[in-house]
Amino acid sequence: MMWRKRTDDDFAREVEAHIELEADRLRSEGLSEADALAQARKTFGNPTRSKEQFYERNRWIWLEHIWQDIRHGSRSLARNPGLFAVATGSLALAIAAATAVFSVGDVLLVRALPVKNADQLRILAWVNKGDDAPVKNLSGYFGADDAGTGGRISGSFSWRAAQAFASDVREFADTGTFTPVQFTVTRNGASEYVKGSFVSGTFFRMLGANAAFGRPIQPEDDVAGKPKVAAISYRYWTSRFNGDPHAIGSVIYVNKAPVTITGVMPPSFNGIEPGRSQDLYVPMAAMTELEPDVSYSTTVPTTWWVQMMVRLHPGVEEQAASQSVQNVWRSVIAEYADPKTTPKVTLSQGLRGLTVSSHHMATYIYVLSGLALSILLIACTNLANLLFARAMARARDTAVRLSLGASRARIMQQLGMEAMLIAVPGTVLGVLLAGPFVGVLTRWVGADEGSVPSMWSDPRALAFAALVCLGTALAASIIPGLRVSKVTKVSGHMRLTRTLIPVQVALSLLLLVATGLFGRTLLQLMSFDLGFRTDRILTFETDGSRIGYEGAQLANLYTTIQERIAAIPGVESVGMSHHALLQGYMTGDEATVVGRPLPPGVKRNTHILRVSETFLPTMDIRLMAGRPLPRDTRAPVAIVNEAFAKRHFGSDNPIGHRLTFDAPARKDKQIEIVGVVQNAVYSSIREGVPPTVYLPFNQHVNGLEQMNIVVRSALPTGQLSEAIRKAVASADGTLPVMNLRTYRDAVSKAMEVERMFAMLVSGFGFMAVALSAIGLYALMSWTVSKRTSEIGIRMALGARAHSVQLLVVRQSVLLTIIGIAAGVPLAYALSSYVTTMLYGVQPTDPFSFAGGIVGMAVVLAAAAWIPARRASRVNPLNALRIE
Amino acid sequence: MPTQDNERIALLQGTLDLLILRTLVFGPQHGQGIARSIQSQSEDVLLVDHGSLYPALQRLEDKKWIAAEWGTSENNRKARFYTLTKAGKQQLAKETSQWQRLVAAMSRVLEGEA
Repeated sequence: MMWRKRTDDDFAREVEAHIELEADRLRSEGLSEADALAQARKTFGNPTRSKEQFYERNRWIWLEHIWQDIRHGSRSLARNPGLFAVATGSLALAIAAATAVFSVGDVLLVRALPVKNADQLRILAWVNKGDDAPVKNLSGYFGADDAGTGGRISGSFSWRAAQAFASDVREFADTGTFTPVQFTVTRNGASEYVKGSFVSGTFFRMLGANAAFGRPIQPEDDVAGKPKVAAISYRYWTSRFNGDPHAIGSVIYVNKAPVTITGVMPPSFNGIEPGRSQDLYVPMAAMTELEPDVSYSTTVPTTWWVQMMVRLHPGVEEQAASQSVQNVWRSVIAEYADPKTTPKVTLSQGLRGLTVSSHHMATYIYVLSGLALSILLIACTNLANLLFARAMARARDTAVRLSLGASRARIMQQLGMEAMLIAVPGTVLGVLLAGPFVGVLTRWVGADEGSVPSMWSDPRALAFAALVCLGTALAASIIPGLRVSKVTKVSGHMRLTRTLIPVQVALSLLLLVATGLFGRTLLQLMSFDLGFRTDRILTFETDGSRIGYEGAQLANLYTTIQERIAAIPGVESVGMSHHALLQGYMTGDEATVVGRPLPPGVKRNTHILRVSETFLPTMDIRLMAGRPLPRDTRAPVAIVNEAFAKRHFGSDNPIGHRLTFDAPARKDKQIEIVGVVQNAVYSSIREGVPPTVYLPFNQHVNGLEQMNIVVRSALPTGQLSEAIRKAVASADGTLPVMNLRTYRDAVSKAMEVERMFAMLVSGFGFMAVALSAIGLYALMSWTVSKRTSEIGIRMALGARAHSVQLLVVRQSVLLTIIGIAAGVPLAYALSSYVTTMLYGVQPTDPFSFAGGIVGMAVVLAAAAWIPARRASRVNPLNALRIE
Repeated sequence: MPTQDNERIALLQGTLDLLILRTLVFGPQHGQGIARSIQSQSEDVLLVDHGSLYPALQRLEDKKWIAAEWGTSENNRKARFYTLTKAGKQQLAKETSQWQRLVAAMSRVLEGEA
């Protein structure tokens, strides 16, 4: 071994030699053989002490001790494989939960953008309080204003304003503009939607973000007439190109136009908006060709759509930069409107990127953190209990070691090593388990799939897991360690366990209540009457607008597709709608019924769904009054749902009345209500049934893009999908067929996240209860074994079985009551934070609370009663003989 | 702890190292020999606890001021012999001069006071 230059034997021989030499000398001075040796030994002192000193001086003794503890610990854990498995397993689950929540929370709320000096970045925005901004066509993101003005934050500006900011604000070291869009990408004959952005040539330079391979978009790419290029995300590269290096330089078709890939961004770069994944970046200059229809004008001053991020010069005064921005802004507005009434532009910190959407996710993440922390605490107390019990079991041994001079630190170190023996495998297992958790949590908080990197490529998440591992081991071993090392005789020192149990009970109750709340939310969602039937329906999307169709031509294309599919033998009916139901998309407007104004204060918000005449019958959304949509008509018609009829007509008959909408695209038409259908959900179950108007799509072709098609048929899915693809291709061979799936799957996918989350929470709830029960059971068993003789005497003196049971159970009842008494107000206080995540359940839901308390009480009663029963069966004679 | 003889002085902390190095100037020596030689050269005034000699030897060996090797003593016993290294000689010179300055300073203070 490298740290041992001399063996102990060698040293021992030297000591022996010394003593013999000394004895030789003494003999030569005339001492007798025996006296000489005795005298020599006396002069030397204690040879063992010297050997020990040598032994300890000559190696990394602490390493030796740790190795000893590991050997000792694993031997004794191997003797209790069940115990080891339970402890490791429960810790693994807790660590998986904690690490996954950390990973998601870190990416969405904490982490700075992975670029140099991200603190110099700023985002330009303004607060939209209503009509005071001189803008007619506004697109982009909107967020609630934290300042409490009641306005909405917008980050969109006119092209002219963005150019002015870029050239005239001297405090900006660099600027970049961007606008997020959904591209249709065609590769190898297959089309799909890809989220991405148009970015200015300076965008990546401003960020200081380099490509992992190739190069990002550069200023010279962003010139009209230049060959079109794109940068892609690492995730897109690995999932669509299998990480092929030849992807760089290859051509893909974006919105039908050939585009050359120039670079792959690094895995850490996921766009500038946490929680949203961006896979494709294309220069702004390509917009006129790729998105000819889009109303993103570079000339109209009242069309605001350009978003802007800037980098300040180092050391620039925030105030000065803000003032310059204001000056430029005023001069741009003054070109066509009054700058005095125009809202100010703010420079907000861009360190973490665009946090508007992740801001909404914060509450969810806090709730998750709370849950994860509770679980971790429970697992930790359990580990502490376990270690303590083991330490107590060898308390006699420890006491002897302490009295022989072992240091307390040494005893604690041993406990710490035992904790690590459980914590390390627990953590490794936990990180392995955390992967799927991250996926569920990401979607539950509302972030895009893939916007949180995998645990293994995330050093921060791994570091966190390691930290939790150490922290858990330390926390779990320090209290038992302190107590055990003070123990000088074996006595009833279960006080620690006694204090930990109420803590566990309280935390478990918290989780059980959460289980109840989210479980009931799920039940409510699943039992909700959708208002349509999902069986035997296949659905898919297509988009003719991306391949050059528009207006009436596009409507005709869709009609042709519908006819071709309807002609497939075995298809019962086919329908089309602009948005698929229950997928979170909707179109809204404000409706007015001619001659029947709503009382002031009643909102006129109305959902609009453009459908084909066969959509409502195909989905089995039943007609309650009037007639169905006609197949072809010039006169504008509509069908409304019961919710709309009730809001505008009460119990009157809406048929024959006319309605109008506010939006310019629909404003001029007076639309006749021809029928009323039953209520059906639209964009999500949580939203409930909104007042809805169904309009024939071929009467409203303005801005018509994708179409969702539903096919009802008893044909086997495979055969039907094949026939559908052929039918679509016969209408136009380049049309994409996207998201082809059964409607059941589509709906259950919409609920999957809710279901997974409810399962996750209830899994943790049950785990917590089980852990608490194990803890209580262990305490009770220990108490019983300690009091066996006392019980024996009591029984010998005539105590009845049930009074003995009472004696034993009393303590656990007390601990449980304390725990529940602490847990109920805790759960009550915390449940209000989850209000927005629940559906059809109040946060103070009495069933969830009562269920939690009863469940907790029953499980704990069982855990306490089993040892109590054992106690009452003690044979007095045997009990006394034990002493 | 052996009873303290009035005429004998327990070694000051750190001085044992200097004495060992000094003893080895006259050639290789084993542990018992070093202890004996310190005691006899100091005319039995200095008390060397033989047991405490070995940690000191080990320390010096770790610092590479002395080297060790098994050999045979005059009376044919196997013993571990210590030799002064080059670094050890330099160290000895350094520590000796330090010691002399300390002694001079100490005596000036003590005699001045008297």
